[in-house]
Amino acid sequence: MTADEVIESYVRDVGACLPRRMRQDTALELKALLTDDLVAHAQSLGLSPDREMAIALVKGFGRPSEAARRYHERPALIDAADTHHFVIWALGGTVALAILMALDGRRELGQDLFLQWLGLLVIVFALAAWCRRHWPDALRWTPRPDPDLRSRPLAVLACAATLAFPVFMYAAPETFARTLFLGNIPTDGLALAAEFRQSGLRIVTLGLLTASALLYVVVAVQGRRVGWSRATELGLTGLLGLLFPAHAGIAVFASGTANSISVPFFGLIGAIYLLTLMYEAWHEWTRVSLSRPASAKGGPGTVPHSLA
Amino acid sequence: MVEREASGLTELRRGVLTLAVLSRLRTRQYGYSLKQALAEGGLPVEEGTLYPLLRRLEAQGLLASEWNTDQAPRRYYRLNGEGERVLETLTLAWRDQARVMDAFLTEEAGG
Repeated sequence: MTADEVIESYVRDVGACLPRRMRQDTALELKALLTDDLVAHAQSLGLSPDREMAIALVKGFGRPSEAARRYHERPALIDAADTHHFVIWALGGTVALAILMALDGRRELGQDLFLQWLGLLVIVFALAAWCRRHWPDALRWTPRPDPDLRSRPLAVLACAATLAFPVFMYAAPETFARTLFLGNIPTDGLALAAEFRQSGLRIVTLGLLTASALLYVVVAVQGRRVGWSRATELGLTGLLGLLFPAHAGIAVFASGTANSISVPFFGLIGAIYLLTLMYEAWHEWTRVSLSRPASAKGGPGTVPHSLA
Repeated sequence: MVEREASGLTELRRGVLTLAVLSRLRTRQYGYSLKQALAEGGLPVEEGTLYPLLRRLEAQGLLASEWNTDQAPRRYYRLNGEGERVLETLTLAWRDQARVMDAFLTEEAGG
């Protein structure tokens, strides 16, 4: 292969990456420029242009697609600035799917879900990037309140709601259903099995659910979540995420039919707790302290000024 | 030169490259002759950066170009009216920036 052929090969590959309207003209000019460069370089060495010199020259231009990009910038399918979030969502979704599949007693979830999840993410992120390019004001950042602040009335409401569902429902499902439907539907099938009623699993689960409800009282008093309450919430969520799927392997209800119907629901509740745990753990991982610099271990002058 | 110094110098050159190219295109040039002119003036530029820049400046309406096929076919570039106006504006901006930077650096050196 001669030096000319090397250059022509390179220019053909660059041209193939360019839009049709500028392909021919740009390729011709690039060929002329590369030839000029090659001849000048060879003359400076007192040699004739050869294949090795031509290859070294075009290598300096980068891969043909890189050279073409300098002539015609194409937007990235996914913004480079979104790479971090893309990876987080991809990994988080993969772990979430793995949890769901592990708790899927009926084996209805296929492994192709992983690829479908990644494909969906690519489409969503590419659409977001496209929207930002066309409407720069769309999807713009907006300030949000401190994520640890909690409305006291809402915390009280959450406590009451948790005591009703799931605490009351878990403690006495038959009474819960009778109360909920005002005694209009038969609830005999929800009677708990005698062995389960006395089991340690039930007592521990009920204790953890009650503790979850009481944690809202603490948050209501403090008006915000603090370090220990967040850690307690994480622990409770994780333990409940492990305990609920364990219910699927035993006879919870006296009725065999009720047991077979309830199996996937215990798995689902466990999955919801574990996914919540994952989400909250991620928030803890990305948490930043705005009270002092990372290098400071306390002492005077480390608290930043507040902006009025 | 250590890597970070070379990187800093590249960034500085990248910032002034457009102005330097426009200034050299008051006379008709083709890609390689422009590269030589810049290098001889003390601003060596990689071909891979320079040649696409010419295309972009032309697409922005600052340059006129034509093929000359008398000998080896070459595309020649030259400032057009809009390019001369932009060069004038950028020149004023550059002188202003240079004055500001001089003041910063002199103040720094003086302590």
